Amino acid sequence: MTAAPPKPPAPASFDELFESELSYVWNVLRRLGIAEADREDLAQEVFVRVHKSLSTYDPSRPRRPWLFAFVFRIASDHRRLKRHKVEVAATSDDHQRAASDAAPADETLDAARRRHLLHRALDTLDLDKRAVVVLHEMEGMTIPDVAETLGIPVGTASSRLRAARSHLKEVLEKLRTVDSSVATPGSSS
Amino acid sequence: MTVDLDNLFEAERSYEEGPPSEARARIREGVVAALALPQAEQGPKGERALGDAGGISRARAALGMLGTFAIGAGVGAAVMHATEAPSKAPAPTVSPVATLAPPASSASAIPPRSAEVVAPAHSRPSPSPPTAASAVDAAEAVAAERALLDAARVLLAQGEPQQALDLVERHAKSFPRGRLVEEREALAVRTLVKAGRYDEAHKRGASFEAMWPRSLAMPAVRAALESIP
Repeated sequence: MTAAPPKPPAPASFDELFESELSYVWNVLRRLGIAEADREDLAQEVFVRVHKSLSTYDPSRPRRPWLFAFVFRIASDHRRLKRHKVEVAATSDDHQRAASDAAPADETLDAARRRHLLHRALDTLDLDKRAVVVLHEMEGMTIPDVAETLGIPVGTASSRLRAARSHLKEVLEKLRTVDSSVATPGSSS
Repeated sequence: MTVDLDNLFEAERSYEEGPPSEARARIREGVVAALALPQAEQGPKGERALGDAGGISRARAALGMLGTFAIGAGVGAAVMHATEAPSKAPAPTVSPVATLAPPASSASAIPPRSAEVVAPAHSRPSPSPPTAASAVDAAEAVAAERALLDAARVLLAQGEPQQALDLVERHAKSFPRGRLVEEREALAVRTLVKAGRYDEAHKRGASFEAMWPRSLAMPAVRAALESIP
């Protein structure tokens, strides 16, 4: 693998795995657009399934891609059940809260606004494309590694990323015209 | 002005949000309950430990040596060989109590092994602070449990329910308070059904449901019982 972060040592116990990776799992759920109200249940489900699959875990391989696959599968099932639909103009309570919970410093407030905007745009992506974006753009995974993690051909991962970026740019342009204050640099309340 | 997509990714990339501590505790409790993990050990903050994945490589090694079980060195290094054909009557050569002995420093006494081998284990070891040695012992015990149950499952799949049952009963004798008791009992019900021992299957299924009503294995247990002609 190229440019991969250093691998943590294999967990000495499931307890240690839980403690060290719960935040990662929570964060992935957030980045995949799972509402905060649902994250507890889904995080629990992730670790239950992880525990049941421990005999398949190869400690010589990176842990987080292995975990990501569980989170993605569970998030997919959840989204399918909820028949999640988001309009471009809709703003979820989560993202509003996330924006308002930002620390007071101007640069952090601006960063919070940028994240808020990004998540609004991400919410319009289907989960397959969103997963590619999360892994490549946010977790810094190479496309071949993204493909392996998601169990898809490399070409499919590439084309999903291209399509996702193109779609996100279009959506962001629309959002910019709807909410021009976000696009203006240095703006603060 | 164009919003730079990469600029937005950068803002997200450097941001991490973990669960609030109350949520963390609830998730932990939920996992413990869903997996019916033993409440043997306390975590560093006094919360219940989630048991160990430990010795995953040991578990894999144990699977590779199907039939040979090494019980943790800290408890007397008793080795149980199952190299004979599984159809022979199992003769456990190790005290099942010893396999789950807490560290020597613990003051808790281990209750004598129950003669009841078919009922699910109700008692749990007393809580004791985990040590590196006990973690290793526990890891190897789980690996041994896992190997036994996996072997039983293979035999069941191969249409040898009686032999599978021998291994299930061996697990019950050797690990009355093992971590995989729930899994063993679910397997026991399925195996009894396949062996045509329907009355026992029903009784064991009823015990299973009483012990673990929300078990993830419940659907499989019920399906096995419903398949009885």
